[in-house]
Amino acid sequence: MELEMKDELGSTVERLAAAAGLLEQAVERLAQRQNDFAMDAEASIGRIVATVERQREAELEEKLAAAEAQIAELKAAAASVPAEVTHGRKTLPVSMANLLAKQGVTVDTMEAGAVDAALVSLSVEQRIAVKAQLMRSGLLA
Amino acid sequence: MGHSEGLHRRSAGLAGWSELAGRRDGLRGAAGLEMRAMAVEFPVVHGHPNRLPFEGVLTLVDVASDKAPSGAKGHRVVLTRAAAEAALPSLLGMAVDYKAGWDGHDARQKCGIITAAELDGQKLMVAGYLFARDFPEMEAKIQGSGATSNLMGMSYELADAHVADMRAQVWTLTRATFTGAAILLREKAAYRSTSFRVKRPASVGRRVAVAR
Repeated sequence: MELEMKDELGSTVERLAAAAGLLEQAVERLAQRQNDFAMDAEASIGRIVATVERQREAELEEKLAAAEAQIAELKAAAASVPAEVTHGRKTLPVSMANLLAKQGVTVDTMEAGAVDAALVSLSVEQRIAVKAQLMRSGLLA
Repeated sequence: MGHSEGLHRRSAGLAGWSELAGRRDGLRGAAGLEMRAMAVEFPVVHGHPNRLPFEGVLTLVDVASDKAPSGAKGHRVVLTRAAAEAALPSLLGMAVDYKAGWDGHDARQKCGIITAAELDGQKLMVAGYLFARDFPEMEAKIQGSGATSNLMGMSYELADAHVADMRAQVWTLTRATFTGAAILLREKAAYRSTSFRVKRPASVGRRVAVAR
């Protein structure tokens, strides 16, 4: 009887010790988190110069230049598409019009049968994409 | 520039003594406006060829900068009045510099020295001397464009600036140390309301006499 009580007490003490250990770990984690939060909220900056941030401006200028170059490129690509391909319509993407032109299809002569015949060399996925785009553009019923 | 003239008058008026000493004043005007000032006392040398007095508004306190300063990671900043006042001693004896193109700092091109600083309302006024003989091109530029058209401004350089909350859109600087200043075009300064101008040596001599 006494032995059983001792065993029970021993296991209880072990459980309490384990719980205390877990609590200690939790307290440490909380303290660390609070410290991280404080570090995040307050900080010391090594050097600040009250002139306009030139590096940021330079980055923005670079981005603007890249965007302008891309716009110019797209405009040039659009200008290179023959007028008979697009027939003045702008709803068809340039890349699609170019693809059709390579297959010998012009917008003004477009018929379902002609399209099928012209696109026979393309893969199924490409044919579906082209037809879907033509339908979205209202060029194919 | 009324207050800055007063600042320079006090600074110049304190000169003429043989030793170098620091002085800090707290002045309260009739309107209850408190002014904090500090100056290094320089002996007067009449007709000194390499001392050209200047004065200017270095920055504003408790006011957000118009643009993000360099080093502030795109954040505009507010230098608190308390931080500026605590940092006034660090400003004295620091150099002013300029950069070719007048668009920034060149810490290795030190063309003058700050000898007096004053908080006047929201303005942090500074005064000092430019090394006019060493940098003749600088005087020509400033006299030619800045005095009349107000093109020139100033920019501070801070070290160990303490930011109250890094996540804030506008950073609040609660502690800092001044390590220098620059003369530059106002449009290149993070604070557009700064100013800078040189003063003719003859007028300084006259003001010293008045101050005494």
